[in-house]
Amino acid sequence: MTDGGLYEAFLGMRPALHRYLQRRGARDDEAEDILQEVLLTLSSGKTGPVSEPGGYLYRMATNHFLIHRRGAVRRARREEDWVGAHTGDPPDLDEAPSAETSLIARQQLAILQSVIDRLPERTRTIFRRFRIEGETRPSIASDLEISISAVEKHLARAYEAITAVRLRLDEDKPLPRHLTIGKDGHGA
Amino acid sequence: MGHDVEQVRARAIEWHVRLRDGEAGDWEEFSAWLAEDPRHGEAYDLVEAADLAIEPLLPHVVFREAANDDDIRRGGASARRRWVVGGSLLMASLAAVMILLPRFAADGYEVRTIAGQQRVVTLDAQTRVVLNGATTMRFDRNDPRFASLVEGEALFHVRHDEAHPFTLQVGGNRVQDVGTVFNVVKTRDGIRVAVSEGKVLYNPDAESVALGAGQALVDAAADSEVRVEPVPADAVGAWQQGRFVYTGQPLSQVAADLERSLGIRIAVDHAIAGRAVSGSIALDGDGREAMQIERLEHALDVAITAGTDGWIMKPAAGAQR
Repeated sequence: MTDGGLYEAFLGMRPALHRYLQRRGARDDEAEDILQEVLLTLSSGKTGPVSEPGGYLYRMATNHFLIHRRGAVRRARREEDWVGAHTGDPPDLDEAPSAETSLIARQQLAILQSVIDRLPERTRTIFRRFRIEGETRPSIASDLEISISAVEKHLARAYEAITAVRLRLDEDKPLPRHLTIGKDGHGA
Repeated sequence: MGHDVEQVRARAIEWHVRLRDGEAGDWEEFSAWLAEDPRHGEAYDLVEAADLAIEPLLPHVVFREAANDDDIRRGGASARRRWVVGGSLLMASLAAVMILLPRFAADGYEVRTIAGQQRVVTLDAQTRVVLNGATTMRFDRNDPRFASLVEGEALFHVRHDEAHPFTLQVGGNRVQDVGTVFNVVKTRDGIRVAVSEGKVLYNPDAESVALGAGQALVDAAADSEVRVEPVPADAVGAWQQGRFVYTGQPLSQVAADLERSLGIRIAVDHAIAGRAVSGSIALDGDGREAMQIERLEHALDVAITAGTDGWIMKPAAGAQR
């Protein structure tokens, strides 16, 4: 078979992946659905050669989990919009008009740009190489002749700054912990 | 307390950095960390969400760095792809919703897909069945070496076991493996079995037709004899990749295949239903109907109109015949 052991690896790791998804906030049946999608992708043979199946499968499960959660958020917002329209509560608009959307994007870009500009230069370089160029920590470390943990400290600093500013932008829209939300009413 | 929150967030960031190219062991440790305290997962969600949120913005960010940094902007776009490994591919299968009906008594169960969806059923570590859209199958919990294709299409990857051959029931017919990957379609017009690896026996207790790799059998409802024809071995089950390969099959069969995969009803004008189709059709993940229609019109040399109840294929406008 053409999946280079990924399929067998998946079967062996299935219980661990299921536990992982539940710990990420998936319900039992949602975790099952997500694993089924992973299995389907593996079975379609669309996956390329993989050096480390375990990490690859966890990443794949995580991607599917995020896609699921995004869908759940959108559905919940739609329900809230409907309820809002019938109760007089202000609707929580997911899709703003495009002009407004691009204005928000421009504002967010300006904020992100200023966060990046304020990082120390070395931190900025390492973050770019890691996040944009996709280089690994060990390859950045050996190239700059510093330790891997030093690279990690730079990256932590960059992510601290990005997470902090993101928290401020997002205070009004916290992410739900669970995939299925909006069932227990709409607290004022 | 505030101190505590900051520490948890710092840990979450460490994990996020480490997991980008983490191995199974890293993920297992991460999973254990999540289990320690629900606040760990909440902190991680925020870090992950922040990183996802900057994704569309990053291409527009200017990284001001010293001019002697020799590798600025090297290979940016392609490397960034790695971050969303498999992401867009996965979208294609995302719509899959399956219906698992615990229909019969204790041991039998039915698995059904609706048009446009696929599902994998695992019978043992080396035996699996991939159901195409609009397919109904039955299995037996007590006998992993048996399956029944009620309707539709499925691709079988079967572990061969001399002592317990895998048997597929298709209507009143049986397909028995001799170690193998094979594809079976059952429609109202009949049964098609195509083999990509190994060998199968069709109706081992009756006419017992042996099929090898690269062979297909057609058991048409309207015909008393079965017919064996060549099929490109790598075309068998290519529908899993959204690819269809034809060597002279009628357009009506092409329409039925597309119907299962696209989840759209497709009617064919009877004037062209029997037209032989040769060549290969690829459906990509692009779900936009207009694009699919346009590509198919070119590939099949037909005119397709989209109505409320599906598509209709007609002879192409300006066709000579």
